[in-house]
Amino acid sequence: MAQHQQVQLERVSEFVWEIPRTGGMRVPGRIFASPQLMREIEKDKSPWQVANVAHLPGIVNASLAMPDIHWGYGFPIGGVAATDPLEGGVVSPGGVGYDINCGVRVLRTRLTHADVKNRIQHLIDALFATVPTGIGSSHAIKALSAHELKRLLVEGAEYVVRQRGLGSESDLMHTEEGGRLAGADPSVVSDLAIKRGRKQVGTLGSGNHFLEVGVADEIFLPEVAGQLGVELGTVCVLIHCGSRGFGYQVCDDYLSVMNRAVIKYGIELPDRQLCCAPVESPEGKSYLKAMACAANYAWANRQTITHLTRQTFMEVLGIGPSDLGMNLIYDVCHNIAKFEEHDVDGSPRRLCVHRKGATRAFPAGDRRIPESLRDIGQPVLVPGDMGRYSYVLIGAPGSLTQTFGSTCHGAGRMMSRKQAKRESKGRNLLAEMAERGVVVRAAGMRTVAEEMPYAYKDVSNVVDVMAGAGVSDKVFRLKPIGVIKG
Amino acid sequence: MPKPVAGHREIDHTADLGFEVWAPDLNTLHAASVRALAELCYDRAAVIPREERFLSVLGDSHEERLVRWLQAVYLLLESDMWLAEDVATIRCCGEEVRGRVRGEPYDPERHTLHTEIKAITYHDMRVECHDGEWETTVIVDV
Repeated sequence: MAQHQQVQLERVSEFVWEIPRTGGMRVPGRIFASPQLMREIEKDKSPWQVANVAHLPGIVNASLAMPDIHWGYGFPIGGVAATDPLEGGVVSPGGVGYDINCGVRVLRTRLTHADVKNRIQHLIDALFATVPTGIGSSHAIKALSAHELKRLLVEGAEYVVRQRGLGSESDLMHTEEGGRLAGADPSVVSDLAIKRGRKQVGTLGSGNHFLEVGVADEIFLPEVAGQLGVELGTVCVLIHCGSRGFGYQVCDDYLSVMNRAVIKYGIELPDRQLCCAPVESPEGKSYLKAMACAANYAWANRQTITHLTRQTFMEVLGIGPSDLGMNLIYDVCHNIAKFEEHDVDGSPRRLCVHRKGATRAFPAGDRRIPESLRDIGQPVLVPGDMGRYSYVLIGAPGSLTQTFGSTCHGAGRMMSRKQAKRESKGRNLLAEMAERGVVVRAAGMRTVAEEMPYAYKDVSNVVDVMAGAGVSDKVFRLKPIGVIKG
Repeated sequence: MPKPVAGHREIDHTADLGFEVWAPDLNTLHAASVRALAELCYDRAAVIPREERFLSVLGDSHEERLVRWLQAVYLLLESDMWLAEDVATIRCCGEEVRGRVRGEPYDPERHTLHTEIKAITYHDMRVECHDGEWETTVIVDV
């Protein structure tokens, strides 16, 4: 078992703490936080994990952590690490996480709060009946044959849009990587992963995953919000989920492969959960091909849920697609490893950027974001908790100079799930949420107890750090009015 | 000294869920782990052990075998909506764990499901024997 050690933290600027290089660290660690958040961060093992990631072969510049950092499997949640394949850089499943391409998408509508407030219970009931949630949730659409699934794994959201009619070309344009990560190869995926994936396209799962209807209640950048089709009172939908059992199985299968690879390539690690292989090795290449399949599964999953959501809104409200105007603002992944070109000491280098609980946040002008968004920057979706608010941000220039184009992904938990359950004893949680103006439907009340607002940090503290550091700017805030959960 | 009794208890973990398990031997440790996992996922007390399913897993270490054993039990739930209540027979022998688990298919009228599990992790897991008592900690990613 790895030894947990205290790490030295030095404040180097208003929003950045550094862990100096010691021992086998190849680069320093760097944590973005406010003094208040840092007091919370220091309570768990995550700074130690930031230091551990700095040991990875080929890591460039620094092992980074966003302000919503907390303990994770090997890597901290909220961690960013870029490795250079030409310098022996590695890829690590622990740097991506079990839920490959877990991510969030936000859709705007032409509806205002006044249009839905008297129908919100009906709307949430209908969404809950249409989008499968909870353990073993399946059959949102007819189970795919193994052949169909393999095609989906290569084509991602393109498959469900172009072959199944579950969306539009505009949806694809507003999805990171167009909803299709290159390099996917189903031949390196296990039969068990295929079996687990066939029935689950279009399902939410449980844990912290959700579908939320919210209203824009504060606008920070009116011009940018306007370009995204949002003004005060606009109804939006947030969808948070990932690659379901398929992605979990891919991660699990490759942890065994990587554990053997660490021995084969003589890689010395402070924690065996950082198991990895050189990007250019057969093991590294296979993992990246399988991971791309899972990333594509997740985009197809969120796209299918989007289609079900549009159908449900139209049925419940008795309106057509143009009156609904439910357009995808953007879809981002926050558990992924991707090849991206970044400037390192004045030279462009092709790096393998791991984002585990971190979101890409490219600024205005970047040619890697769609033309329709290029003059404002890439939207970033940061869910808070189901009682308070979530934020839509936009990438700022500081992301490319400080964080390999990355920012935060959520609020981060303040209370363990067990403690949250204890807190909920004797309370009517659904009534409490209703008092806050939020209708909740869930497959299990235990999940509601674990996910209550008091279990989470205030996400505004997290997004303010990244705005202060010049990494991402706040565009608008969404107040939830209805949520479905697993 | 009396032989230690097998048992389990849920432990605190910030983002995920976990449990500690202890038992007088390795077979019983695997059986107790099934009960602990079942209680995280659903109301185990409501499950009637009227059917049996056979499971067999291979692994290079105690930890790998325990992770795969629990994954196999969890997949009965995820794939077949079949709820394990306990273990009928179990044998840990060399690189294999094989056994029969008792339970029944999910019935929405009688069974309450809790939280879906993404993975049984290896985080801080060590299957060890101290003074005749086997013990381990299992963290599950939710």
